[in-house]
Order: sequence, then C-alpha cells, then structure tokens
Amino acid sequence: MKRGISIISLGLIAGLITHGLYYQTFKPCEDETLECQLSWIQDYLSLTPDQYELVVAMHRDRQPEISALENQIHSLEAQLAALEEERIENDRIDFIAFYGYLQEKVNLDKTRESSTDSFLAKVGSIMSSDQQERFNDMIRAYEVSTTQGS
Amino acid sequence: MPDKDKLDLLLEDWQDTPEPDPQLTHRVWSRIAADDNSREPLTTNWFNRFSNILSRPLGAAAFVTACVVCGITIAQFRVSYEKQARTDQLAHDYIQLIKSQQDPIDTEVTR
Repeated sequence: MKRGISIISLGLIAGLITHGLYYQTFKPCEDETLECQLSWIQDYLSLTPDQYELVVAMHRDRQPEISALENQIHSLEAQLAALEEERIENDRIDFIAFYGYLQEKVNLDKTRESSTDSFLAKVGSIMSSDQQERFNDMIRAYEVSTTQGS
Repeated sequence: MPDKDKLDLLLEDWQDTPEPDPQLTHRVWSRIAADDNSREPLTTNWFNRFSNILSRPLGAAAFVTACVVCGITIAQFRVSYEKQARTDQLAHDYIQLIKSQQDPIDTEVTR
C-alpha cells in the first residue's frame, strides 16, 4: 500500500516535470524582438529558414525609415496643435499655414503609402507565388473583416 | 423397495413438525451483519488491486512511463493551442500595422 502510494507520487512528479520541461522548451516566444514578432510569418506561409532570415533582415533594415516617418507624423501633429492653439487664443485661423499643413500631410500620406507598398512588394519578391497568394489573402481577409466590423 | 420405505419413514417424521429455533432470526441477521462487515469498500478494494500491480517492477515502470507520456501529450496540446493563439494575434497586429501605414494619417490635436 505504502509502496503503491510512493509509485503514484513518483509517476505524478515525473509527469509534471516532463510537462514543465517540454512546455518551457517549445512554448511560443513572448519577447519583443523582431524574430519573435515575425515568427507568425514563418508558420503561416511556411517560409524556409533562409526566406525567414531575409524577411527579418528586411524589416530590420526598414526600421530607420519607419522612425523617420514617425518623426514626420509627430512634427505634423505639433504643427496642427500650434495652429489649433492660435485659433483658440487669437480667434484667428492662419489659412496659409493650414494649407501648408494639409499639403504636407497629403505628401506624407503618399510617401507612407508608397513606402509600404514597395516594402510589401520587396518582401513578396522573396516568396514563392503560393506564399505570396496566401500573404495577399491574409491582407484581403483582414480588410474584409475590418470593413464588416465598421 | 427399501428406498420407498425410507421415504415413508421420513414423511411420517415430518408430520411431527419440530418447534422453530427461537434464536433463528437473530442468528440469520447476525451472520448477514458479520458478512457485511468483513467485506471491504469497493474503492479500497480497487486501490488495493492497483497498489498490488504497482508493487511489481513492471507495473511501476509502466505507470511512471504512462505519467510521463501523459505530461508530454498535455504539454504538446498546450503549446499547440498557445502558439496558434499567439500566431493569430501577431498576424493580426502586423497586418493592422501595415494597413495603418497605407491609410492616411488620422492626426489628433494634442495639447
């Protein structure tokens, strides 16, 4: 009886330890690194290790461009805030400055769109046609879901 | 016919019915109670049998192996489920980010 209880305890402990070790070894990544953030692409599109490395490198290379675009957005926001403050404090709208702001915003929107399109094309160029198709399907599915949701 | 003679004798005896034992009912119930007490509960019985199997080296090894396999199987399901959920979330966030970079800026006045 005592031996039976010991064996049951041993079995349960062995099972729990194995469970913990296996889970720790294979659990999905949770950090904020680019490799982790892009791990889904490899799973979804069945990329080869070489393709995955290239995709990660492309995203890493794009970081400075993204930072520059972010800075431009912040600058535009500050510009708009200054215009708004002037409108409230002086009860006056500087239409020339506002037109300049709108022009800058339109240009920035175009830059962002073309930058993203060319980046997606660049990423797509290292994929097979089947992978590209799946990638485009995902984007289309997202568009449909957001259109239906709104 | 000696057998018939015996039967006749027995039938003759039977006509003189003996008085029933006054302790009969008590003795029957005592025996039933004693039998009930000697019987182990079903769970204890099963546990004892299981314990007996485990006391053998082969049984013990089989049980521990089954526990290990069970642990791995559950961990595999857990990893698979969490990975799928995480992958879906990351994919959703990525496409949302890409789309937001293609859409016009929605500037807000921050004061």
